Amino acid sequence: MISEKIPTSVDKFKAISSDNISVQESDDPGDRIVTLNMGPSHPATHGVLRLVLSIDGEVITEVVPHIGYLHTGMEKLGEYMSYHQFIPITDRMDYLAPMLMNLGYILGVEKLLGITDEIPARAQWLRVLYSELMRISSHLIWLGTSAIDLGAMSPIFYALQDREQIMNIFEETCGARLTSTYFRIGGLREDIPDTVIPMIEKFLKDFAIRLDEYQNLVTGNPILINRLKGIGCLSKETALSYCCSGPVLRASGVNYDVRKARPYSGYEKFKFNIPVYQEGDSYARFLVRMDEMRESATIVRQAIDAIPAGPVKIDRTDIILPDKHRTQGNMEELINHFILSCRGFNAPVGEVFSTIESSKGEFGVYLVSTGGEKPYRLRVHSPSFLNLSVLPAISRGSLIADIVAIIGSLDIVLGEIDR
Amino acid sequence: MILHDVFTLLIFPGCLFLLFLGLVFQFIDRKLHARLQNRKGPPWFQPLPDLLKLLGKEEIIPEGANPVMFQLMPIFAVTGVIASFFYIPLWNSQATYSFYGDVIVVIYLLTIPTFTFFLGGWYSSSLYSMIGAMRSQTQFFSYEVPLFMSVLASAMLADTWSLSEMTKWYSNHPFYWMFNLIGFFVAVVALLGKLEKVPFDTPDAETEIVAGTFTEYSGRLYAFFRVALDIELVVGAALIVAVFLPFGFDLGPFPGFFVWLAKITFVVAILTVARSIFARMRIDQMIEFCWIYLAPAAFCQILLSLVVKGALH
Repeated sequence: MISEKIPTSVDKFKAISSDNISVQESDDPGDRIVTLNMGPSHPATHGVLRLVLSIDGEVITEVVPHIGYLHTGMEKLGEYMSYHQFIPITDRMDYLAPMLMNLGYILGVEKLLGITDEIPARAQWLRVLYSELMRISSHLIWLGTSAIDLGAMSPIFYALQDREQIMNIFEETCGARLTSTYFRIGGLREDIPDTVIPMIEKFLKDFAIRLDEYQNLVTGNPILINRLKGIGCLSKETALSYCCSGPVLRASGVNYDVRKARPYSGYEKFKFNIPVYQEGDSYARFLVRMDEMRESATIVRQAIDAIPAGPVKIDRTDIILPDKHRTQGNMEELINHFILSCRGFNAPVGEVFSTIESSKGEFGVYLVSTGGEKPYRLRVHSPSFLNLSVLPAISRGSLIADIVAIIGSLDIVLGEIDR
Repeated sequence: MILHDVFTLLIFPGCLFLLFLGLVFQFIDRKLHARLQNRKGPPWFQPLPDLLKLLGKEEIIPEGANPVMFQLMPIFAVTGVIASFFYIPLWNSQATYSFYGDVIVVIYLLTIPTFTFFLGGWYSSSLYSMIGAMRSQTQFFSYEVPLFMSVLASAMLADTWSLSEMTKWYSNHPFYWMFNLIGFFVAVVALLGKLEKVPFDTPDAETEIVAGTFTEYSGRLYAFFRVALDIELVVGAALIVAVFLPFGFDLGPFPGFFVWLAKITFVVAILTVARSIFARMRIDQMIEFCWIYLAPAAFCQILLSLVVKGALH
């Protein structure tokens, strides 16, 4: 309907001067297609994603995502840092869920060291607790930003208020709000203060009410439903062949969640459901994440109700920094402290791959060690990258307005894609 | 006499007064929007520094743009909305100027900004602007018909083509405006489309096509467009108030003025609440909505007006 009016332009990117604007009716569909550059600096591209769209009027015929504008060489950095030193770098990957990134990396190193089973129960329990809080926080940001993509400016302010409570919990726990670096190889940096549990209780109480409101606003909002239903349909087969994971995969009818399939950090002790939807469209992805927030809240509830007592660090001062008071009375510990601080520990020769369920999908770390205090190779399996790769396949033939909704529903974070 | 006309046109209730009102209602809109979003919102004087700052900025004309059209369009937009304001009765039932048939003229003049958005976007040689221009034009055809039909229904009931005559008729026949409530809502929704506010902000959908028509505009030219939109908000609300909420004209200048301000604020508040709580519609959904729901509703209003008129005589 509108498509005929868009002028044809051979010189696609260059400015079209007013002289050569003319409506040329042509039978060749390729003649009507113009290229539109979206990003890397664009309000809807969630950071620095660049899309090159071929559009016929408002209809998209082809999408080419360009990534790399946030490339920081984190994988390469990992080869030049000791295992402990790299933990703060992982915070910067998925900067909306830093604790999950920490956990994914740390579990890989622990697997390499063979100490996975020796991690104290309390540390594992708290890791689950904070992972789920992080997941809620990440999904809240997604809720706000994807609503902005759909033109609703208000939800983000409410979502950020809820996230603020989680950020305060993190600040109370480890002093940092965003880049927490709270998990350590072999446990946690330190035990949680007593003041944190009431804060989490309060958050859960507030969040239960707010989540119901959000759910009503989504499922009872005809504009939102019209914008999302049937948009960006991702079939089960396509999702699997593109190696999608996380909410994107579960919205396409595949019941796969690393927390259930290969439980880590004691997830098998918790009762929770995996929300699965069959439709595969943006609306299903929306609902999966809403349900996931609910499930995460129940996991947090179970976690704070029965935190096991005990230490939060493995009793191996050659792997994790000992408590300060121990170094002052014990020569061995002081030496360990010194060596760990300036050189790091020596890992055995071997290679491991370990994955966790991050808020975006299956986040994995592949480590190759040839001995020594640094890995030979560090490779990050990024869920956002694989979820983004499906974008050209599912957005062909949709409108410009739809592609924004689709990107929002894929929930990508460029820091993790470009790592 | 000439001095009086100049005063009327330039100062009260002309350009200066209208600019002032535009800034005041921009503030009310922004503040209410902020409060609905749990934000603090801008201080009361913020719209003025915003405007002054924008006026002082460098204006960049894109290389491929047609400089004449590119620079003319913002001025046309402002002129169009200001011109239409003189024919709308404000706080007394007589407009500044009026003649038989000014309903058509007002609605015609109010379409000028939309055309300038289209032409300005078209001649600014950016794809984002062009898509925005096409969208604003597509949208224009959808909301304009219901808007005109709803105003027409009200005019039919009063049996006149002059806005001033209409308000006089409604003053003499109190409570007849209640028959036009469907038309009122149709007109408010159409005004949302005219002002390109959420949920009908597809022409300048920020997350899709950056700023649509205004992508390439900067500095003074952009300031003129913003002013045109601010004034259009007031003028559109004034038109709706004059046509659909015609009461309180015989209160005298001061109480009447405040009643009028309250009515305008009410309409602006409806628009602001709508833009705070809704998401953006897609352009095809917008067209569908306007033709499937809005236009039949306006048609019902016309039928209702005819029936009431028949019962009246």
